Amino acid sequence: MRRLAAMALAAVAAFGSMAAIQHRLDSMRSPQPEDELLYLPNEHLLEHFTAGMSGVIADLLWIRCLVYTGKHFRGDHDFTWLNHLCEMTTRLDPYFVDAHRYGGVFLAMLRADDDACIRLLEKGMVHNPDAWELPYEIAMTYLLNRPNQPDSPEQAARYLAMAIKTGKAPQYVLVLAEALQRDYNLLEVEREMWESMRGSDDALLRDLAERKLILVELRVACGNMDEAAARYAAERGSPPKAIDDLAAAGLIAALPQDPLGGSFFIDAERHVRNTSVLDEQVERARSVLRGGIDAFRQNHGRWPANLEELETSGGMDGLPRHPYSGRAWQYDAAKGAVE
Amino acid sequence: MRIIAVAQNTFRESVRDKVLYVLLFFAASTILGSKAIGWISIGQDIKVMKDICLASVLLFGVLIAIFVGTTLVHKEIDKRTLYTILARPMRRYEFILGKYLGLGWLLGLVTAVMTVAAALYIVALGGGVDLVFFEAALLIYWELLLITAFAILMSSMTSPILGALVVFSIFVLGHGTRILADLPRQFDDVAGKRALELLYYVLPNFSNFNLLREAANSVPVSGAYVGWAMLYGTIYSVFLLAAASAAFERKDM
Amino acid sequence: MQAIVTHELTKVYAGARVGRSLSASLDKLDLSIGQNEVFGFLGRNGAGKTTSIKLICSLLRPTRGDAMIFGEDCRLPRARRHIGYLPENPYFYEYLTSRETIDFFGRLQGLNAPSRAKEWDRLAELFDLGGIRDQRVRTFSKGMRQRLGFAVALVGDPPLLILDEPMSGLDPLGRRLFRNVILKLRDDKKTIFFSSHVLSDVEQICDRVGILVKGRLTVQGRLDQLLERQIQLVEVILEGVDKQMEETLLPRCSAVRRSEAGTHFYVTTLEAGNELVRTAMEHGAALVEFNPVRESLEDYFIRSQEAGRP
Repeated sequence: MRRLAAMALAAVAAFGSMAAIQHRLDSMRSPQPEDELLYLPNEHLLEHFTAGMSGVIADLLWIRCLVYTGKHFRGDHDFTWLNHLCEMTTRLDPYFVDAHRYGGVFLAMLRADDDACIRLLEKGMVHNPDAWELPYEIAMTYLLNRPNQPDSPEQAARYLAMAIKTGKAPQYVLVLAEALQRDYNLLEVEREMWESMRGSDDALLRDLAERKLILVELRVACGNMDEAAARYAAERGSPPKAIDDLAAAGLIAALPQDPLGGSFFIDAERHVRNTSVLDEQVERARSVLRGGIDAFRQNHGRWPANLEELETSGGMDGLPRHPYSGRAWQYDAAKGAVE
Repeated sequence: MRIIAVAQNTFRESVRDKVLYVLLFFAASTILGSKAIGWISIGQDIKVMKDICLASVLLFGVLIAIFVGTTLVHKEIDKRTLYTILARPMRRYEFILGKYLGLGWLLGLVTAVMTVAAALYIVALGGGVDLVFFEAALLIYWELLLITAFAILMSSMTSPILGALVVFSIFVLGHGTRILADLPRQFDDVAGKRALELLYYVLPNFSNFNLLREAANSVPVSGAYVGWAMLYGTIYSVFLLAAASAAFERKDM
Repeated sequence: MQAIVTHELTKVYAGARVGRSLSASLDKLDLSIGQNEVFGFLGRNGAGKTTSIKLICSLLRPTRGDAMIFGEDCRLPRARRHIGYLPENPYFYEYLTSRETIDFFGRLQGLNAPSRAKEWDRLAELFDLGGIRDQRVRTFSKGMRQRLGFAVALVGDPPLLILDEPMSGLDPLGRRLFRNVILKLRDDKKTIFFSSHVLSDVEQICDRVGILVKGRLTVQGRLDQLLERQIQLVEVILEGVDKQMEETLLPRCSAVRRSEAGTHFYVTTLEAGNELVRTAMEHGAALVEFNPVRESLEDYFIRSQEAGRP
């Protein structure tokens, strides 16, 4: 009995001291930069030398991808490595439909990289002709990421048809396809999509969907207040100066609340705007710029001297405007960073 | 009759080998723990579990085949249990065949038990298990039989440690042989490419037996494919056993 | 037909060191063992006894020459159905019991279940294995393994027994058991070929012997013929010999001594001994013992080793 007690005591002492030392060691070591953690050998080799367990490696990579996405979604919104992770995962397991699907969604919605998204989803469709989710997401990408492209509704309809042809698409896809045929309300499309994702079991997808739905509502609110402002201008002869004017004139029931903590205001062009919505647009535009800057660096070996160079070098057609009217992008040529 | 006697003996001997139980314990832990990794994903937990379970069946099966297989013949030579047996009217190839069948039988049992246990576990946790899952397990077993043939060949020729290293390397490389057939365009120079293509056909191609991704993603696989893959494995195994018998035939005890 | 005939059976092991001349482990062995013989194969450690046996049992491939077993080439599997082999330090599957071991070898011989059961009964009685029937070989002592090994060699009742150092490591009871079994086998018309370096065993039971020196067979023949030529002395013990008789007999002897048994006279030939006895008995003495002291096998063996040295 005494021997046991002595051994237990020895164990506690040993592991206790080791835990303390471990803590110290961890703080002494500088945290590894993410680039190195994500470095993986040539995809080709990895695929061939995982001894038949590429499915498991793909799963682990996918989890890594989710952790990465979640971390940056709640943090600095910098999704540089997202494409690489999705590519690797799907290469190791081409039948992994969810990785294609959600990888595509994250690429389009968080990184504003619809080209990469569509490429990924089309790759997935080659190996998984029965997966309705993939053409569906391509259709969504056309509608939401390329709303100004003239043939977007047509493309979207085409892809939705493919999704329906698999025979496995759920009801709302059919509804959406019909709606597109008639005439589509972009906002409705978006709302539908996020509603369906809100029902997911996973916290990350739910959070993303919740946030997006709130932004949709805020945009709707902005739209409604714009109409109210137009009525105000028609009645009074001059546009309102602040939102409160609208409330005072009884044109809106109450001042709308922004659950995300932003505020409504009327901008220089007399449009009602919401800071949360604009902030999100800023993030997306910034991602697009970052993409262009990275591409420039790949091709020319240096950061561009200024943002205009992205255009003049032929890398991008047109720079995204800063969503806040009157504000401009701050570009630091030394670091290639844009604010 | 003699072959069966040796096979049964081999089965009994392997079943009493403690290494087997250590490996099975780890395999069971991995299968049970697969759910934990699945939790972290966004709803792909069943897919992840299937991946991990089948990969465990493969990996632990390979380890058993190698550990037991490479010591099988060597131990008998070393411990001279063979002398009395070979002095009987027994042909040497009968002994090799008996050893192979005994170990093959053991692996079949292990594979079947692990597969069924994994399937029950997945179903109990709400997932579905379809035909392709069992097709994948069947081809895993066929792959194990081929690896066992390699192990027995090594066992008749060299020490267990060297044999184990060689067979394990063959296992890893054998899954990657497609790289020889998928060479990028810069290798289009005729002689070198031909040689590598030849190598592709000569080296064992274990990825033929790999249906793990299809099984985890419920992608159906035709019975014809499974049949051809099994035929490939059978021919290669028979060849290796013939080589092992030949090597053993000339061996001085 | 001879049980075993070897013709210039030779084994040179590959891999001898470079620069040293290859010396044969076994050099042109010409053996001939008749049926129902008990043949003792003698030699020092490393002389090539085990190599010869392994060649005959086809565990080794000969470099030259061949061996026939009951007229069939030893390399054919069917020739080996005549053989029951007991190797030196036999090993069996550790996790099997004695019963299971006998059963396994019975199956290798092609015996069906009832025959195997009968074999077990027969062999268990012969070697007193009943007590360790269900004990695993892993727990056996050396003596128990030897007994099991000999029993295994007898499974299927083969006509030729080849035993490599069968008595090694046995205690006196074990040795007697084995000796008795061998003699019983001889009575049952079996042929026994065994190697040993325990000369007293060989002396007691063998009909013929062969002596191997450094891979070469130097001597082969009947024990009594080999040693007969070498009668060294005859010891005659007489009782009731008085001083006078002793002095009379003394000139014919090489030595005389007294003990409690009587007077020991030592003469050099059998005839001289016989003569001595006749004379003594005429004079009233009584014969106690008449011992022709032949050269012992040990003396002969050692002499042959020295002769064989290059």
